[in-house]
Amino acid sequence: MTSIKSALTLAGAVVLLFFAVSSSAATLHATVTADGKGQLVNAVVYAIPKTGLSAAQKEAAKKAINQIDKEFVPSVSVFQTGTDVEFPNQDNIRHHVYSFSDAKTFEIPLYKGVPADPVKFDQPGVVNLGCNIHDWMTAHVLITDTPYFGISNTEGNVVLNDLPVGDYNVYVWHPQQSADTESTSQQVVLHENDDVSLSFTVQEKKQWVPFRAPTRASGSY
Amino acid sequence: MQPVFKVLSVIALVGAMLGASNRASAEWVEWVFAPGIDYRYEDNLNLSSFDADERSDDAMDINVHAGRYLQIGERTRLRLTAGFEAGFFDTYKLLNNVAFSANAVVTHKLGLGKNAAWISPYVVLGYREVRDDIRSGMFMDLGITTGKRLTDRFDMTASLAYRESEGKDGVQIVPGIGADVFDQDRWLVSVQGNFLITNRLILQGDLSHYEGDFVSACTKGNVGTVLAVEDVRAITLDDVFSGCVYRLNGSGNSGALSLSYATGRHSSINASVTYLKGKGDELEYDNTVLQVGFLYNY
Repeated sequence: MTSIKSALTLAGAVVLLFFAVSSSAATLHATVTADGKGQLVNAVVYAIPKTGLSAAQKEAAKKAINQIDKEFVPSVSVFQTGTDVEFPNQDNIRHHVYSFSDAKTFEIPLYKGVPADPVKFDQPGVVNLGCNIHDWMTAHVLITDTPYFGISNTEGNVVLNDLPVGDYNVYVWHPQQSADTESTSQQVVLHENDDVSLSFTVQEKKQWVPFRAPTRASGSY
Repeated sequence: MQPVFKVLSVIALVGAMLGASNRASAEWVEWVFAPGIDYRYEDNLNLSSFDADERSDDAMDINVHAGRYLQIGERTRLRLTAGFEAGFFDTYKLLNNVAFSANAVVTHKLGLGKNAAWISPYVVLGYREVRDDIRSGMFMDLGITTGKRLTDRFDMTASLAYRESEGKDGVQIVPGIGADVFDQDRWLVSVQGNFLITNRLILQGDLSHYEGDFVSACTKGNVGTVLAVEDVRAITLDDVFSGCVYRLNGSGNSGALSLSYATGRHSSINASVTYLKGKGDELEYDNTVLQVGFLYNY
């Protein structure tokens, strides 16, 4: 009898603890559209608490950007500042990954498989990647201090779950966005169990990237 | 170009390419399979200097190149391919031909990134078999191309090439003038610009200048004028256009505009118009070539 009571007490405490944790979290739904063109895929939505981030919120896990069939996969990524990023080459040919971006300038010379050392993205900002062998290969990475982010799907939708209550600045970023993120940001205050929806409209700038196809051009790498 | 110098140049270039391939870091990488088919129309196929004697025709050209890339170093790769080409003319079927070639191109990037300049020496050695047999023989291209992307939408290349071909001697018809009409060589310099109209559609412009041999057709009615005003290097009977054919040393220019539309990641449709104008000592020669085709690249 005593053991049953103890078990029930413990179970009740676990349930209360579960609801206690869950009740302090909120959910943010964002929909991103391109001006005049409908849903926008691969838009990054990220929320930065106005009160700043705790040490626990700044820890970042290892991530990867693959090379598959001579393309970067995914083509758009978002990582937290301090993330170690691997670049597994899943092709049977070598690639040469590089970036000239101020947020992270680096080069991984010709390699196959997974390089021994990941690349630490230790500054917030935008990092554009290329392959020196295959000029059409590009990828874009947003590095942000906050752990609260997501990338829009083909319907332009992003869901940020388990956001602690508080005031946030919410931003949207897309590789072809013509305006800076500050001009499209929105403020939101999240309370316990809130389920908030935001909409973003992005002005796209034209990106000139030659389609990967043969031409009668007199030469190319 | 002196024969010894030609042979030494080809040997040196091929030797350098093969020597580079023996470097410990060299590795065979992507395969190449690139077939193409074109419809071509020329309004002065015989390159006559006399309007009334110009002959036009259209042709179907097919070509296939197959081979492999050798990654020699961080920024250098060698493309080795074997080529097959065939041309089928609608009216002047004696010009139908097949050709086999070996092609080697080294491309070296002079920096990192898609905007880095590159330089590319190449050599092509081949044999063309033409139904009109005196036009059959070996051919060789030696050249170097350099290029750079200047903006996101525009890139340019410049080329210098030496081209040589051999044929068979025809029948001597003018005393003191040889009949090796189809033994030709020329130098060619060209610049090309490529402009993105859309991400799939490229507009290409090409300007070329050549110095060297070219071949023109003559008739009973104009051969006297040709021999009187031009320094004819060789002349013989011509079964293709039913008259005579002669070789001059002269110069010429060509301009071309092309559109290339990417139909997928491995294929494109291409259309071009080229205008050529050449000159001997006195006579002028021009030709307009229209071409539409499909290219695939594995």
